[in-house]
Amino acid sequence: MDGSGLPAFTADVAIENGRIAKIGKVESAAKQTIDASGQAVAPGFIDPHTHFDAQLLWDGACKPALEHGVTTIVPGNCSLSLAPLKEEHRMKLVGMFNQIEEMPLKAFEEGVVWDWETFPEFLSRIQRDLTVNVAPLVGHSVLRLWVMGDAAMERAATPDELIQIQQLLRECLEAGAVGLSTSFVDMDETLKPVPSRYADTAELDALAAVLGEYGRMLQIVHEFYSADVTVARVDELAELSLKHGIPTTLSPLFVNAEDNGEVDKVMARIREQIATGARVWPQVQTRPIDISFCFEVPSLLFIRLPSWYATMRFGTHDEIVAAFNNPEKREALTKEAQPMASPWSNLVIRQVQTDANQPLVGLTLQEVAEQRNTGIIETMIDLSLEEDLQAHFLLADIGHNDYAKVGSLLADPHVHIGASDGGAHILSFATYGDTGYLFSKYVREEAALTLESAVKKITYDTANIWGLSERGLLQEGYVADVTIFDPDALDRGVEQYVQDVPGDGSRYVRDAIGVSTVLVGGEVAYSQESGYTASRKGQILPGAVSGIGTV
Amino acid sequence: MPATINNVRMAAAHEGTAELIVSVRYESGGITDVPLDRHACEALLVACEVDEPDQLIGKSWAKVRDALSVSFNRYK
Repeated sequence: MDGSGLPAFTADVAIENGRIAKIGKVESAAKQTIDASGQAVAPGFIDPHTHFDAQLLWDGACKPALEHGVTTIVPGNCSLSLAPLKEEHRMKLVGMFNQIEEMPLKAFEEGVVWDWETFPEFLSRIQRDLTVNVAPLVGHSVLRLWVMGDAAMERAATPDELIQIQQLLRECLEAGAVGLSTSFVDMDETLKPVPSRYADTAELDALAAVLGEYGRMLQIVHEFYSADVTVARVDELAELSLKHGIPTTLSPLFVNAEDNGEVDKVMARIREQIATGARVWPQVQTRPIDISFCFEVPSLLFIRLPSWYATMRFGTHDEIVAAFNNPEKREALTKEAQPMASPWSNLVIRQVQTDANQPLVGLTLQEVAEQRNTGIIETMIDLSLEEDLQAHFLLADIGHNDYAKVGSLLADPHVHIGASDGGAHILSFATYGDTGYLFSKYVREEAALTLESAVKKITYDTANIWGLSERGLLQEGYVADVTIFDPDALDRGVEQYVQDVPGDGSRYVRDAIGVSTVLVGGEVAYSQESGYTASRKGQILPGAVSGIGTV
Repeated sequence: MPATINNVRMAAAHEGTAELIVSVRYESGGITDVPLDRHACEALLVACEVDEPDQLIGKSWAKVRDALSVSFNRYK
């Protein structure tokens, strides 16, 4: 399954010096042979929207992304990268990462040795221990911080500052940045707009002109909650793409049930603009969105239940506990929630604190209620009391859940599969395994894509969109980034809460299902049998300009 | 007739929290969806003097605009 989208065929794949030497019948002996009989051998998957910037400092494999078959990641999205970054701005950026991507402050404090400032220094820093390939975006917000200091969060750049920002971007691209990211949406830890949002259109145009010198990508976070504004952003990107000859991408684009034709409106404009020759790629994620909550924090899930919402909204921790323990209030709450029994029975126990209740994690509230021979609402209250309000519940697949429509979008040649947010939101949900879900849900269950076309979407297409030469295809001479998997089994595992973040931090992850071997640069980086290896063949892509030639 | 709320529904926000989507119908017949976080939702209920989201139907778009401002400005 070579990534081209053409039908799979049976062949040997020979690898020499990190590159594919031959595809066909290979008779000569090899130093190492991998028996992939009955499995799919495909190019390594490419994840174009991640926030692994911090994790790369302590984990060059971006676990567990690699074991899902992802051999190349794009960090630095949404205007945020960890370089270039002056010492005095470090905590400011940490605050933004914490607010926007939910990266714990303690992970930065205990997992990061701050031994870089410039973009080339940062790349040297992560290259020391790199297993996956990294195609880093440089963040517009950090460029502004470097040049403008605090004024980056107050105003547009002056002409002189703009020249400096342009030159700084040029230096990053020379060092190996794959493009520039900016955001029209995100807010910092004080809920002020991030620096990129203070830029005017002339600034973005000037930076796009620099991207044009190198033919590199412009990524934006658009106002995804408004189709009308998104259409305007599509037009803006198309204009920049045509004017400067650059690829552009906007993420994310969601499809919710009861959508009022919002996505159709955006896609119609995307098609119009692509027809003019512009490169404007909307990123659509594969996984649906879940809602999670615990009774410590008010959730709008209860807004239609006035007594519940008032209890959560206005009660202190002790008052909520007291209300749940009060027989009369319990009865009243239960009675109010009963008409909405359906969503409650589908709630999944996501996380608990006590050892006694750990076996309940992953079960639905209905299953636990049956075990305990109690009602569903009573079980939710009881569990919350047993866990001192730290029982976390999950309502799965509640957003981005119009599967027929999402499937047709993922198969659409005008759509870029991405927006996984890998490495972000680590305390809210798992951002790993979107590729596995693409195959289990949209290839096998929904039949929205063929196996070959799904592989093409996340390999060859992605490499082309981002200008990653010699990647994304199994072809002689190409770099041997290879994922071997069982096409009938490839999937994401169940969500797990693990403690493996520096500073005793935790996160949600998912194991891979059906991936047997992953090669990066011709070496086995992960195998199902023996886990992660000591191989460190990850590269910075596209790499320093001196190494790749200019456009 | 000014634009008014013509539908409300619960949805999942990008970050995995619940949000309220209010659909605003314009004079021209056009409809747009506006997502409200918890703070904006609470502000809208108070401004419209109603207790439940379904009672927002028929209320002016201006209330939605002001509720969004309440959410956005709460840390200033």
